[in-house]
Amino acid sequence: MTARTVRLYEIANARSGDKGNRLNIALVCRDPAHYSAVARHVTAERVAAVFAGRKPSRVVRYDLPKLAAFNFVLDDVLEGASTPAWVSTATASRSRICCSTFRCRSQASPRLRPATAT
Amino acid sequence: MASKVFIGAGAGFACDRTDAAGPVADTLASLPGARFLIFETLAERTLAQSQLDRRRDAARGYNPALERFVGPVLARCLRDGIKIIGNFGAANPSAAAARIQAMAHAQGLRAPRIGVVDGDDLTARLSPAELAARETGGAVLRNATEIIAANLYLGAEPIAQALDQGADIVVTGRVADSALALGPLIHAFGWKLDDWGRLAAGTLAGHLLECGSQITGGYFADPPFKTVSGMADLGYPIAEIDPDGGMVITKPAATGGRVDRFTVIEQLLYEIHDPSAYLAPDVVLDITDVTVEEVAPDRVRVTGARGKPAPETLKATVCVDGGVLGEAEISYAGPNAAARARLAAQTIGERMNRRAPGLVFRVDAVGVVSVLGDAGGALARPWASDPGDVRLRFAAQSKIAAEVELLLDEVEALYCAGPAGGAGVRKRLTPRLASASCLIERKYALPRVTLTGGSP
Repeated sequence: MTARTVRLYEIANARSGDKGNRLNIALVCRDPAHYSAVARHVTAERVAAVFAGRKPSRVVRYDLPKLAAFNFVLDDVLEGASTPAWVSTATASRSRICCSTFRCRSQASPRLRPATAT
Repeated sequence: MASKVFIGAGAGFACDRTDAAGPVADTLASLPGARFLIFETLAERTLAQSQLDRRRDAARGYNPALERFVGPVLARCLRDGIKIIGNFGAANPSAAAARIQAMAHAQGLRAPRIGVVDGDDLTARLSPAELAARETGGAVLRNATEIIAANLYLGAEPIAQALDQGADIVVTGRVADSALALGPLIHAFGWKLDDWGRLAAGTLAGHLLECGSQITGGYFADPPFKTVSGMADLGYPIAEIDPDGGMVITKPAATGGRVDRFTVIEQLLYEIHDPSAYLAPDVVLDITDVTVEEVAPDRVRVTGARGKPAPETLKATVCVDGGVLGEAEISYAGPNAAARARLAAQTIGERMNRRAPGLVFRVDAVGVVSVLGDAGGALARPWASDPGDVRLRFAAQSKIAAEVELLLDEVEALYCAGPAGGAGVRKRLTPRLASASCLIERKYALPRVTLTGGSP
């Protein structure tokens, strides 16, 4: 089996949205072949760890295999309701940046040429 | 009965591009069948701001950009029979309708028949305490004595009724964003109000269109990973919907942006929580079986929406006074800028600790520590590198305006009494609205449809 380590943003797209004090992050695999690898690595627990600084009360991952996508829902991370934010910029960027810091190990993918064989 | 319905989106939020609707209206004019142009311009707290506008002037309280949104497309839509549906009525839909009549008159057009949908305002029906008892996921309304705005999300039925009564234009206050598309579909296809599968498909069409360019390349570009051409001329979306609820999402020819699997899926999941239960006033939408298929360049087919019976309660957004938000900024640039900026932040900390110890405030160094916050004390630690160009931002929110003003004054005093080379202070104090979500029994929803203007 060949595998290489990639950053998540190299193989998946993400979009965040907010409602009240709840944040959602959609994660979409660019190549559906990566779906199961992303599912293994990008768990609700790991997303909760990335956002630990914002102290989510709950993180849930919903799986959408037909879309090769996932939806993460994080509760109580937006400093109250969606009022004029004293956080200076959109939560959107925050979640996208955070998403980007994952490292995902994707195995035996048709598109990813192995940089190092393992 | 229509065999196909075309719905274009002219705006996806209150401050959206006002010239986006033009190419959409032009494209709709060239298409055969029932055609609608929708404007979604009412975010959660936009309506409360409009309510404050209305209190100051009874003839206002609708979206301030109404004329800029509708003016450029009004003649074309009236001439070609493209119906306009918008929630730009905000806190005063009838005043918005009057304004549109005046615009039509000024442009030498016939008087349009305008359907006004209201009845979303709850303030006369429920007391602050009764609203507080219905708040979900927070306690913003606890002890609130004055409500600025409380509005139910109405469904698609009153919009369909206005169109059934011959409206050229439908102006609403708070309705579910997706209802702006579902209403025309119920009207044009004669869908029944308990046909959950089709209502779900129409809600899905509305959800895909409601944010305008967010499905055609807006809020998407992240070069070099995600590229979008023509960002300055994004084409806004058009949905072509079949009687069975299947649809194709596309955009006007010769516009920028892109419509493909990725842009559509990102919008499909935008602000969704449980994908099997997206709650709308008319239906519960389940998108777990939806498929997204690229059928031609910039044409994506979306099918598979499933529906469940409408929820028993309706969502309302309630806004109360949230005190003030104060922001003050100052720049430090040149060699050793980071050390001077950190000293400035530390100085403000000492001064405020003495003068208003109860005030919580935050400090951002824009470009170094801002979006991701300072939860780990990153601002105070030595930075990995000195950017040589630091914009400090101090911000606080409080019900005690005097303490926030004190913070702003302390930042300005850094000019002379702070570290070397501080420059470019800007201060801003703005009223803040706090918003809450409530779940309201349907008996409090009393939608009303009033037709004004020209004859059907």
